[in-house]
Amino acid sequence: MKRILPLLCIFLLCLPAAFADDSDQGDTYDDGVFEYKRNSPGDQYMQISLMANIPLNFEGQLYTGGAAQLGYRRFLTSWMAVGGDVMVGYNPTLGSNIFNFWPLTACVMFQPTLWRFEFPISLGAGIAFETYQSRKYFPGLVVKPEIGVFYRFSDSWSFGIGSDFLWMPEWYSDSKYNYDGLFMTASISARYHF
Amino acid sequence: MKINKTGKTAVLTSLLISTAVFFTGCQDVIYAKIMNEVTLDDATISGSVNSIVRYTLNSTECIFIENGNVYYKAALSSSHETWNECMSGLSSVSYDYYGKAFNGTQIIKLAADDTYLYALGITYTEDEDEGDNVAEAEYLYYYDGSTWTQVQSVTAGAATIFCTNTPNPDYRKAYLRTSSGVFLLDGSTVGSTATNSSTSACSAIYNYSDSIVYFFDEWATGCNAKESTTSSSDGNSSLTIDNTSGGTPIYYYYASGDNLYYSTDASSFSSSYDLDMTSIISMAVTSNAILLGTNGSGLYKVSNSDGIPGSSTEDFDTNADSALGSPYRILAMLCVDPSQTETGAIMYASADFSGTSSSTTGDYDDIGLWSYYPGRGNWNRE
Repeated sequence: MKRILPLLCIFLLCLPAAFADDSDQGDTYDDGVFEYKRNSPGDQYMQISLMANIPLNFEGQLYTGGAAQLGYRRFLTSWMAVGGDVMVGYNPTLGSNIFNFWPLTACVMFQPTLWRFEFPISLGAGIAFETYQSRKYFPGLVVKPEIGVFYRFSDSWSFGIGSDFLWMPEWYSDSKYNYDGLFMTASISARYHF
Repeated sequence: MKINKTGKTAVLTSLLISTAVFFTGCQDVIYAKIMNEVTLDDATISGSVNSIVRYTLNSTECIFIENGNVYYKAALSSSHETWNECMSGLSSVSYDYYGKAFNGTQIIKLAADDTYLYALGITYTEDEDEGDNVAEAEYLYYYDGSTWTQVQSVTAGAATIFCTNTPNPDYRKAYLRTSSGVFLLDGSTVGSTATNSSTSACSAIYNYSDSIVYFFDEWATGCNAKESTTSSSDGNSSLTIDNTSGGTPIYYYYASGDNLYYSTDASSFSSSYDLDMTSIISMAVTSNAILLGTNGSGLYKVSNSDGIPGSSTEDFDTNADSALGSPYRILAMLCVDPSQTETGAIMYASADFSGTSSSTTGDYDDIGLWSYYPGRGNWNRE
């Protein structure tokens, strides 16, 4: 039962692609009106982020660690995109051990813009691989809301800061071990648009 | 609505990933173990400790360990305190930079009988051709309660010493193993070859029913006997750990690979459990649990029900596996009083790891002696 949610997330997040229309649009014509937008349907970008990773509910048993993330987005409209992220993170523990995690998420993003500033708001979900000493937890559910603010330096590049909230619960048949792992990140990011 | 080719590919891919995820999943407890961790003390005994032995020093039961030098403290000491150095007659290893020579002896193993403590020591020299420090010679020493005395030199690399390490001093026997065989030690005298031994023996169990010592080629051996337990040759006909009829039987244990063997007769082991874990190289027996030290995965535990071990590992009642998990090798363990429970006994374990800290996540500060004290309630650096 504990694996159902991650599996469902994978399936649901892949489902929109099944109904995406990639057929030819037929004849088009130019009505002479041109509206320039920095982000148009079909535009894509890659994002790389480095971040501090702060545990929220471990009562001092986990220390602030670090993480790195690689992301991809493809715009469906000028303000909405879908994509995914792969992250690797770690936190030192009170007893001098290391907690590692590798979340893999699919996400949908809404991005209002104001002048050269862009404000991505994402909601991602997926699976996480977690390790500690020789212990492994896989697949774990991860849900990841994310906000940020970016400055569009050029058509190809934007830079900014952001923050993720990570919910990485661990569920077991013996419920006394169940625990909600909550983390917050503070990141600096670069995005390459193409 | 028509599902196009890209969509079909996406659905198939997601199904494949989901199937792989479902069948490769593993759910080890992680967060709960992290919440069990404690702030680590500064270590007082650092370095690799290969032996933790009982020895009666001036009528006081003591625990002796070596990490190059020899240290001891009272067996009933139940707190993290300073250990006493025991190097009278020996000098620690040091390097004379200007003389380009190593001085002193590194103690690598201890054993004890009811009268003497024994140590195996190595002297080093510098191999200028290879740029290495190499063992020059290996010596056996004995300690009579006041000073160390050299017994003889032994074949470097092939020799080791071990002992029965029984809680009752009357049954403590110490042995030297060389490429020629296993020899009973008696102070300055090395006895004749022990019967039933092999040239690969490295541990011994005293069998209370026939008063014979049995030898094993495995490092991890144990017994649930306590200090007051006596042998049948001493008039104990019931052969229980508390010498009473109907009491808990005396059980003996040894581990080979990840198999834990147990028996009421150390001459014959017919029962065992395959624990499906890293090789077991040390153990400590308590009244309700047997703690197992592994060769690279830290500590594990099986239950102990009137001497009979559980068939599989289970969770600790302490922070043992949070403190000493992977990648640590548990070279030696000792439960001071095996009649106490897992949370009520004083226990020691020595840890190290192979490889580098960055490649294994091991911490060099963790290499050394660890302890569990009931008053402290957790495993921590000693």
